[in-house]
Amino acid sequence: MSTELDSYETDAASQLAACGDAASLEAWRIAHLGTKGRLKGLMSLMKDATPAERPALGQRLNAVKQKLEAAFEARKAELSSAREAPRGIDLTEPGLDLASGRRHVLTATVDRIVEVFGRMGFEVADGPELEDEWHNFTALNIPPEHPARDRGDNFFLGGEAAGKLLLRTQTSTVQIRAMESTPPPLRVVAVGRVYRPDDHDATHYSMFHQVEGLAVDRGLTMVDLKSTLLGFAKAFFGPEAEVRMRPSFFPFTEPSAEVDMRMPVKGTWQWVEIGGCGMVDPAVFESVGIDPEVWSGFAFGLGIERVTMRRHGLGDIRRLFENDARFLRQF
Amino acid sequence: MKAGVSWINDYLDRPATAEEQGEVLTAVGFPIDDEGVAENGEAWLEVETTSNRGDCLCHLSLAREIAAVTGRSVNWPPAAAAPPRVEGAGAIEVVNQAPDRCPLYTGRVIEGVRVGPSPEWLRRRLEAIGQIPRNNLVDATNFVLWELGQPTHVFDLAKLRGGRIEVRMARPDEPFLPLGEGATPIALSADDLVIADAERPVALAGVKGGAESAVTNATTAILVEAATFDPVSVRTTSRRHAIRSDSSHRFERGVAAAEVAAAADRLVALILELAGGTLRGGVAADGLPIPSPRTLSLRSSRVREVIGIEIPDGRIEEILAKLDLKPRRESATGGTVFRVSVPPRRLDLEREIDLIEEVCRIHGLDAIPLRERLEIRPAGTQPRVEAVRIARDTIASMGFLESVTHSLIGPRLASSFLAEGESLLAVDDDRAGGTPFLRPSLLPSLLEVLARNEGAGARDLAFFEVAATFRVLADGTHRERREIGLAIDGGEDPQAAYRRLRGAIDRLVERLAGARLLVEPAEDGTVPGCFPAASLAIAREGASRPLGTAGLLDAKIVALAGLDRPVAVAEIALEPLIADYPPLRAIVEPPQFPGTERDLSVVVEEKTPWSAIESAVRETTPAHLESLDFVTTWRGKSLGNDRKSVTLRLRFRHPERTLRSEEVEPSVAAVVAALRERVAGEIRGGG
Repeated sequence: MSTELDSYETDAASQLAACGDAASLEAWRIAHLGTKGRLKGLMSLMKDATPAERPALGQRLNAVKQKLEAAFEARKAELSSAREAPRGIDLTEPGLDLASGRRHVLTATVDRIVEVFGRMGFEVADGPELEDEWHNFTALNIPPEHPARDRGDNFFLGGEAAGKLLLRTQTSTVQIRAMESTPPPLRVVAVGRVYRPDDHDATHYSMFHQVEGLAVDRGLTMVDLKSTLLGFAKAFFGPEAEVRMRPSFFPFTEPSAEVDMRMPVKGTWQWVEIGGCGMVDPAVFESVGIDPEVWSGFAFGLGIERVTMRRHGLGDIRRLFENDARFLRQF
Repeated sequence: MKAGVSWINDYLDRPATAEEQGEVLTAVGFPIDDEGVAENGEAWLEVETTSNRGDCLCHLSLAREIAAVTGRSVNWPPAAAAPPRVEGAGAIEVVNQAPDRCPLYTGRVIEGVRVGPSPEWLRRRLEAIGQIPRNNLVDATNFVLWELGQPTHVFDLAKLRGGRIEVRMARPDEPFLPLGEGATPIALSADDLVIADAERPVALAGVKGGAESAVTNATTAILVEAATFDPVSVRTTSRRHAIRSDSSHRFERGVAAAEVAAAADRLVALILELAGGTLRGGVAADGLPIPSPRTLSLRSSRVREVIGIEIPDGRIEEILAKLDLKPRRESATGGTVFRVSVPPRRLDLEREIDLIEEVCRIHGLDAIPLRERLEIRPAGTQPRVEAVRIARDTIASMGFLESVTHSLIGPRLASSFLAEGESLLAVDDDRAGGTPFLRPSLLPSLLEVLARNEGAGARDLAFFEVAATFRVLADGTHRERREIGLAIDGGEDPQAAYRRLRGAIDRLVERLAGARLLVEPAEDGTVPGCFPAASLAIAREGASRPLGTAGLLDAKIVALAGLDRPVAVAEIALEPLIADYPPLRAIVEPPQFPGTERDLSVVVEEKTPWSAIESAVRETTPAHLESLDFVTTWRGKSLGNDRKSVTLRLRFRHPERTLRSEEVEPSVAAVVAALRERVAGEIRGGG
């Protein structure tokens, strides 16, 4: 008897497994679990059993029934999930053009640079692009007769507003503003547009972007300066990045140096001249009323266009300002 | 400057290869821009010199730099050089009327010279650096300029009138013919310093000699000029007349008066050697007293404080000595102090920090160690910085391309974007290349970007930019303000373009200020640059300051940019947009019970704005109203020309239970009544 039930169970299960669609599944259900199905037929076994056998047989019959019902539900779920996809779908077609916008590569680069310096404790400071001579020159230790002040090398305002205002030639102006408004210690970065009347060609544009950093604290040295630049280089370009400095001259820092960074240029690591740096000149501290015997500081300026162009292998700076959609969408 | 490798080696006890010279000079602040070999086989280096090191625009100084780093010795002055022998009485008088512009002028007369070609050794040196040998007199002055950095000049004595040299200011429009092939006469300014004889200028001081007093093959007597001039005076004159020379290049960077005599002696000795003749009457000189050498103090502790490494006193002393600074060690409280005497040529060394830089430079920047770990002071987040980044990202995510355009624009578009009484700021430079105006708005720039892209075949684009704008306000003060400009090519469907623009601003204001955008017709009727009927003022709900403007650009202005399409624009002041970022948001629990919707189509006059319909509904404050949305506008013959049907959607919901249909009917009826009363609206299709 038990053998009969066992072979039935095996038989029913294999038939269920063979059902490949909803119609055959339904046919199986009627044949086995339906009111006139085979399982009902097997219930007649109870009549033939002795009273002693009945409880065990009853349990056994129930177990088989529950098993088959569960197997049926599982098979049904299986079949429905393996259902054919809706007609007309071709998953090999290309994606839809969502016409999404894009950040400009320069402002996106600026955001990344600011982010990295932020992690090193530098806050963003801001200042106007239309500056006075004090912030653009005098406070930066560029005396009145200095060639950097020549009208031909600056965009001074003309007309009635003439004379004293000009489009800033460097973001170092923001250093001065930051030191005027915030007592030391301070660490700031300033980013923005600067202007110099160059004729436009592949490597010159009369407007470009700089990021300028300034740290003022007790006991800062050139070791801190060099290490900060290295920290930036590694964070921005990757752990293989390196930094080196070469002596140079800027009126607002002393000692001054040019900064080269080893960075990836179209995939290969190369040394690239990236900006200038130095220890804040005592004359600059004096111009904003900070005692250079108590406080020391370092400053650095990096050219955004240069970094961007070298990174992407861009040969002509003018592309950055033409705003051709076909160019902008590549970033 | 272009430097000959062999020429530099002339002054070193042990020669250095071109490669070594280049490496050493680069390491101490004189990078090599280019290098090569001249036609005569001599190697040369193009050495870049910073503006503070005018003293290094000569071979001897470059040799000194190399010697300081490599431990070589400098051979100077040459052992063979004896002071020139002087004979007879003075032959010329020098009167310096402008000692502030010319601190020292000296003249020496040599008679009996024979002009001829220079010897091979001299020609070879000059040719190595691309100079063309002329004759022994000119080549000698040139040689001294490149050897010692002292510009000099030689006049044909016979052509100087009145036996007299005057250093004076030019007379207004005084004529002068400079030396040089193809030179034309120039009219001088009263601000030009000249060297004149008794009658006329014979040289533009420090810049260029005169053609009329130049030496020729027939010259037999000469006046040798050696002087120093004020850098600003030389620069101003050089720029004014667009005449640049190796002399002006050096004088602009400063030539020390104390160095003049030695250079003049060197030149005279050279001329006597190359061209013969006799030096007559000693030196005619006029000027200020020569300043005594500067002495400075250097605290060795300060060196270590600035550079950050332990440089021993002995090393500091060694570097100072190599730089010819003659250090004297003194002990003071707090450590060693070096007293140094600055060679006159080192005009750049004025303060202690200048000496620290010298120590740092020669010790080498590569000796400064790199630390892997940084000491930082933690900085807080900066909501305003974050807000600007989010603004840019949000707009870009809505399909706008970000542009970066020049802040200077041309006159055609500039003034169209000013309000009554305002004016433009312009830069005073013809180098601005036809775009001298600081843009009062980002819109003309965005318009030009759209036009350029349309020219390249790209249509239906949307651009934005975040940048400063500039204008002079009606009260006369100037205003620089950061703004966000947006522009959409309206193509065939300006209404769709405008709604896209409006949707972008809605979302931007919600994102940054947590507020609804309010849009009203512009107060004075017109936004500069826009059609009067399509000029809007925008603000954020709950703020008094306006945010900016929006509208459709006037077709006349669009045409100026070469476009023939409608353009929807907006300009938003950054400051009020981000001022309260991040906005405090009150949490609203998502509703638990289903709502119910009613669509109404209301026929109104064409001129009725959506905002009027909206406020008519809202001010009725219908019970259980959750939201009111615009669905669509329909126009058709059946309505007539001056009417339109606007479909709106009302959503009702109760927070604690499911609303029954009949519960919202009174609210719908109230809305219908309000529309009828407030905007003369008729409900179509029975609502």
